[in-house]
Amino acid sequence: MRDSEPALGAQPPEPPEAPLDLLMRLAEAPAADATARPGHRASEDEHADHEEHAHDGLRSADEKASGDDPDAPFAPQFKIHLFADMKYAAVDTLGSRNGFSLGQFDLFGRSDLSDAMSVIAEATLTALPRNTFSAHLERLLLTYSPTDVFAASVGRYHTGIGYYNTAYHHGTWFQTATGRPLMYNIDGDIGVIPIHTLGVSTTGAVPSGSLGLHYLAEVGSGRAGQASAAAATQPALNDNNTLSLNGALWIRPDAIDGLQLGVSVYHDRLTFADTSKALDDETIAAAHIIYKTDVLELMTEGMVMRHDPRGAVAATDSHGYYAQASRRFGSVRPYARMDYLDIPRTDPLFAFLGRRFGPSVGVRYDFQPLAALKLQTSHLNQTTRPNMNRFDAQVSFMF
Amino acid sequence: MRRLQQTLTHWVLPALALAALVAAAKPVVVRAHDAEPLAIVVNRSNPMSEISLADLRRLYRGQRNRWSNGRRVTLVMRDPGTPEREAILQTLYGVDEDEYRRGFLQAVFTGEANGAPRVLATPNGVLRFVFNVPGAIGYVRASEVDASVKTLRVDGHLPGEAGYRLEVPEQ
Repeated sequence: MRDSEPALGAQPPEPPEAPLDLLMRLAEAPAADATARPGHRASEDEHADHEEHAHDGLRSADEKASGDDPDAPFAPQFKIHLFADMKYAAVDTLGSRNGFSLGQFDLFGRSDLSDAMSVIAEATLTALPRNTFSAHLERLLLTYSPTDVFAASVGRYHTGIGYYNTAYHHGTWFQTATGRPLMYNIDGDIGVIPIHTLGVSTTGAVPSGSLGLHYLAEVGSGRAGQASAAAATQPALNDNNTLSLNGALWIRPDAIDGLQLGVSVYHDRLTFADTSKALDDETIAAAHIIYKTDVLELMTEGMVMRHDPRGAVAATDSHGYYAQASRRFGSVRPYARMDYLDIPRTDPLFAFLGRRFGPSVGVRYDFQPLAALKLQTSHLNQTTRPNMNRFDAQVSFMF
Repeated sequence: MRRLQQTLTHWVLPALALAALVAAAKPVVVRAHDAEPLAIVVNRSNPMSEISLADLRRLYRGQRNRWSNGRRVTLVMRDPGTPEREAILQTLYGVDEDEYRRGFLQAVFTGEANGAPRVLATPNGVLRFVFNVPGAIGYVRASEVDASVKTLRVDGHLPGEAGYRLEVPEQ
């Protein structure tokens, strides 16, 4: 229904100002002052009255860049946020050392290139146990989003498998616990699921009324089978001509604010460096139920990962799930999580992990709006290694 | 005496603790008796005349980034600590200031939201900004609305009508 009232700019213009007055006013006026009406000469009080403040410290693009001010010259602005964490860890397994360690230094930036196009870039520096650092370009995405129902991105991104992998990236400050669930764990660039993909990702909202249906479809290079047993995504050269495919659907029904239910299916074909091994079809099906409100956080996800060698060898099915619950009391949020991951001994990629499961309990204290202290204790039963108890104290923050 | 103690520890105390947890988990809705309607205002060139509360939530949470005419949505918020902002946080976000900040940062981080809202200090600033930016949407007290902007019906109601759900305590 189109409004019939007069459009912007229909007002009669005021008489032109004297050139000197105009220069003085331009010199005093803030750039891109969208709060000043056209042709309206604001008094000093009014200028103070509508003083524009910072965008909660996180404005990513002003109206010039977004095209909302059509007369303004285009000027992209790259907004940077940094995330970091440090921790003390005590582990009771033989040979392990207790001590302080740097976590991950995460540099995240975003810029609007036009009204419908933007760039996201994320790079990390991670401290390794060998007292060295590894650098990774985690995300580099050029996104075109002309409507709410369709957005296409090209580049390196977090694969849209399940919920956690795209909801939480590398800034641990966002996460309630000190780390990711086992099934989404990243060791350097290695994960049980293909954490990253290089390719094209499309997503959008499906017009569905109160159901809040969304979709995601991705095609990418998938994980490299040749580099190592559980190698990273392939930044330059694909192992084979087969691309990975991923599709996901999720709903956010209006009836229950904070609820999200979703499923995803991922498929790829892996090629191994050991040519005696057959090509392997990898299929990962995942489902999630998430309920998050101001105070409550209930998350559970499960996945089945099938590796199906093309030949006489039987397929293997690996299973993983986690359930996490937390409740906020002011600045304090106690939480608990149960992790489970079961990899069959015949799995061609992750047999060395075996079965591992166990609980974690902890408390998060947001002592500043952008900084948190997390204390967590965990127990892990493992079939391929000794069982482990550990305690982590982590400070995570953004700036 | 021992049975009473057992009953207390086994049933009454856990039940009370559970009830307290559930009660505390409910969002606190402040329905002040002396409340003034909060008007949702958009640029006069915006084709929308009304919006559902659910869509308004999606807009303000960064889950919808485009108007029906394809123009990008520019959100306008008032300063932290103002009653108008707190009313919006409670009604549209269901969170407090810290959780709102974290939620929006995360939405930008994941790429779901295009950017954070503009924050303006005064109602006049909001009205001027919405007047000048075709994709803008903001909120002011109903008594502060002037003819430079358009007030949206929310769930079919204008501010002040029965059933209108956006309110801010009287100053």
